[in-house]
Amino acid sequence: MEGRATEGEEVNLSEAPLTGRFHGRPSALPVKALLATVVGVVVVAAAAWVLLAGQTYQPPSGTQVAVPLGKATVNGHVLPHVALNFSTYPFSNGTNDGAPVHPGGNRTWPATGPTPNFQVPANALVTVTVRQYDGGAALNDPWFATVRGTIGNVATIDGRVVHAINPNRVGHSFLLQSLPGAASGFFVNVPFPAVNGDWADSGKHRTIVFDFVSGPKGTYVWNCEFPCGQMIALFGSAMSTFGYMSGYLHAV
Amino acid sequence: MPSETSNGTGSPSSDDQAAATQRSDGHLADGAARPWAFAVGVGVAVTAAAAVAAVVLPGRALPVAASSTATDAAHTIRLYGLLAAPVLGAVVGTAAASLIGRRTNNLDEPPPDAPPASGRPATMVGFAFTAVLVVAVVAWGLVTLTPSGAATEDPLTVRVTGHQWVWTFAYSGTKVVGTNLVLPVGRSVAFEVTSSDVTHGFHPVGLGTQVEAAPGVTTELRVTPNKLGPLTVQCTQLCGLLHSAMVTHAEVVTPSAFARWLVTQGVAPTVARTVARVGP
Repeated sequence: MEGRATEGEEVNLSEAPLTGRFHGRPSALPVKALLATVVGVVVVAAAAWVLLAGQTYQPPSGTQVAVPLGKATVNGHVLPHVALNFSTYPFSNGTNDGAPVHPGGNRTWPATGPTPNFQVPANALVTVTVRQYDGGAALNDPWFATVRGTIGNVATIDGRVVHAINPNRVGHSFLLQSLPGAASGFFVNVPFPAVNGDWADSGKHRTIVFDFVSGPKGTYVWNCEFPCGQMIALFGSAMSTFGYMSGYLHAV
Repeated sequence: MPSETSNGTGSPSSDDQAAATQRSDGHLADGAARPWAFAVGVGVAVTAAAAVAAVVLPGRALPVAASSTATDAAHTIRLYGLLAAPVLGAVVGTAAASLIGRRTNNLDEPPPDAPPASGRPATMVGFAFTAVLVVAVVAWGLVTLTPSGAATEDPLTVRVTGHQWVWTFAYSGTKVVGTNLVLPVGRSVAFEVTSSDVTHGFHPVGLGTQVEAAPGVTTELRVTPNKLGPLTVQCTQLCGLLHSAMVTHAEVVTPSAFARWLVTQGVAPTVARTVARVGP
């Protein structure tokens, strides 16, 4: 083999031909590596810019701060009393005072508006009023058709006090729980009954009111327990995109 | 690099030929013993470090054991770690010896392969050592993970259902269903685990056990809590948007406290409101 030493043959390594992988000038390697890195970064950045530029979705901005109502006595304890209001819509282009709930969002997904994020005082009585405009169907588990964690474990639906609703006619629900790391478990579950007929034509809604005592300071998370999304056991799309059927409650 | 022969005659001496051959195939014959000594040193050091880590780390990384299952799991991790330590040391030592003793500067042609090692004593020793390790870990696993005596006990049956994204626990023989898991100490618990939507992972941390919660399938899991105190139940199967929030508080209490808790959970909800406005 040319350039290879064999037994009994003189070897002059300095004159041996360069073969193999590194034929170019050694000093050119760092330049090429740097050039390749720069080109790679530019390509990735351009792809990211194109993808991000195509995103028009804007999550609902802002957090609804609870409106003070005064003081209330709950089981012998005087607590601040505040109010929250929100609506559940069959489409994210459902309006709240004329404005889309999710500007640029998926118009066909159900949504909560005007915002899915709330702020309440810690350890306060919170009265929540929900206007439910959507139709519905059966829950995966009828256990969630029962009101839990509210004052008296009840809610009022169109003025009638109820402890549970028909698990086969549920529109949405409000399941509020503490995040991992909290000192104690916090759990509120309120099902919202479905609206009969087509909301778009009738504009009908159900009004649900419930009270609960907020927990200690911290952030809590809520989600709808009715499978109102698509795919993946109907827990895809709106159920898997934060802000449509899920949000935060901040106790401050 | 040399361009002339050492004897100045133009004809290569035997030493020159040997040196040239060594350079050509990349072998460093004069230092051949030292890389292996270095490799043995590296292997012993790595083995020692891995053994110490195998003994110490589980105690620091694992949650406090609240059942004999968890204790057995910790011991199993330690044992497997100890058995793996010499394997790791041999691998790292061999790699070190290869890097030092078999290094080549020849980019055109790698050193020739060694002859097949089949039938050599080293091969037989390696095979036997591996076989012993495998049989040992299988035997240990079978003995440790086999429930002992649980079938004859009267277990507390808890039906565990995973939902997106909360756990519910139904206590057999009662109407108690809730999101809190409370267990009596010293009593066998039979978890009947399932899911109402997608696959979740039921992991009562500290009890040393975990099982998938699959929709349409009920899997039984038995464990006996032996330590009072709080526990955490968390989902170990990525299950959707709020998977990270699917963590539930649990507690192991005395049997009497558990009986009292069951009674309080069975109380019908108070329908009458107790809220009264007292001021603006």
